[in-house]
Amino acid sequence: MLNPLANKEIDIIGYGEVKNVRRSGRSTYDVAAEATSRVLEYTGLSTKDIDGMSTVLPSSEAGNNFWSNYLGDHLGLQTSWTQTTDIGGASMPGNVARAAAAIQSGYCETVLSIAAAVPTTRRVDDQRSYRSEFRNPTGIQGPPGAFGLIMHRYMHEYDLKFEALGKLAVAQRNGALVNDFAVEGLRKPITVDDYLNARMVSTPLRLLDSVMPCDGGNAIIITSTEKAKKLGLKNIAHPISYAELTNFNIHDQLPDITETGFGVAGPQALEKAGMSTDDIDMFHPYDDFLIAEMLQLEQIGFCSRGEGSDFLLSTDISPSGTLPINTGGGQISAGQPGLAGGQLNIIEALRQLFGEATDRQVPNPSTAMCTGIGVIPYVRNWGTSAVLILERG
Amino acid sequence: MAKRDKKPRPAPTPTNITQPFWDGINEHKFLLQYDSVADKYQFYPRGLSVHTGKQDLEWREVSGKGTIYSYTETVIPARGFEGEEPYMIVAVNLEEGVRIMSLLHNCPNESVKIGTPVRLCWDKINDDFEYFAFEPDR
Repeated sequence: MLNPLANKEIDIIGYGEVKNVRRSGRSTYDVAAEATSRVLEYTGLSTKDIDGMSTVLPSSEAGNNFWSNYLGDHLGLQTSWTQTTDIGGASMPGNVARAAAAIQSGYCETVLSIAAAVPTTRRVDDQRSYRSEFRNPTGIQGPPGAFGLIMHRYMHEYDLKFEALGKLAVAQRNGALVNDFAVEGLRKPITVDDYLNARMVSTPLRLLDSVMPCDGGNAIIITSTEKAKKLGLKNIAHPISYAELTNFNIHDQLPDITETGFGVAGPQALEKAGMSTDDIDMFHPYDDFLIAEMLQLEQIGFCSRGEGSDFLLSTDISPSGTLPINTGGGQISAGQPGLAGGQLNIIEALRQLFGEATDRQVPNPSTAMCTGIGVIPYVRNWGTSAVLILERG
Repeated sequence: MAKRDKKPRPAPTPTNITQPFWDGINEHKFLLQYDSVADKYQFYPRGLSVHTGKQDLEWREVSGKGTIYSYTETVIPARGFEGEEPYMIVAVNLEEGVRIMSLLHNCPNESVKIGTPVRLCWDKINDDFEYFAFEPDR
């Protein structure tokens, strides 16, 4: 299988993160500026060293159809390659692959991949098509409602053990407790019983199954391995494999809503890397809801279909365990800064690979799998499934 | 279900693609797009057939009968549904081979099961606009 990342010609050389805050009152540009400043400081680069930019269109700026232009201008970037990706929470892992392709094609050499969003301060998005005509007028509670439908169907076909989801909720909360960038209100311990007794939002989905929206942002810098060597940087990670699938099974008008694009993209990403799930040292899945993580475990191949509950219950998913999962709290316990949340798991994976995760450090990890999920379609599963595998350089 | 002050329930804004569908709903006719080449229906209404990519779709009136594929009881209400909670949303597989989602009426929430036969019913959003919902097909 063709894998343009196989030769390890591409490096991620640093990360910058802004603390997640609810109703920060900040502008998207201010958050983007802080994330940019932090990643430049981490790598020792200046804005003049950046010649490419990739980003995601956040709901706080969605009315601006010149978003890339405005953002690059604000940050003081002169770029020969510019990209806004709008496949939701899959945009930022997607941008790693898109930036790598642009660098390998010679369009640019050093890319700032930046995500910033302040949805709890400002929202100007307006989604038409099926959403305004066939979703909102029904009264379904948005994404929690869609995942309530997925969970009940899963329970009809397989065995769902809520204590397994509770274990995952507790493990991620433990990560947020030691993550200074997490929303402060979420930095309180929880138990499996807290999860089981949490208020229902849209049955059988509970409040503690769900993300907490907030404002925040983050950035990474992607360049050629050749350039990274010249810079003499010691903390580098190679993206070694990527697979993405949008509108899985779109021709089927009665699709199985428990089935997702990860059943294709997961095995593809592993095959491209020449790996099996045993070679993955840490799993940093996109986590809008806990059940989404369980579906990914099954469909990427960490366990068989329907075995997700037993897998979670029998696996140590803590930082010192056999498969650490979302060690920084994930979006569910650190907060979801809108679509900028789609790069939080990459930031956490880099922090771990570079040995900088302090109280939650995974012992000497060399590989990480990060994923992205984009959009809730009309009574189907999610729209985009993306899988990125990173390896310490 | 006590009714509190609430925002108006969101009403669809028909487009040139969906206007025939909403015209049908307001006349209590349930119309689906049909692709005669593929011999298949589709929902939601689109500008072309997802089966063949052709635009020559016809609107056909259909039964509105199907079975519950999945369900979720909404406990925290969506905007415009304040005071209606808890209410039931169902995903229904229609006999014509498409899946549709809406409210379930005339059925106690605790008796809802996957596989239950349902039929389409009408659901007034406001004086000008009718929507569709489901009820048990007894």
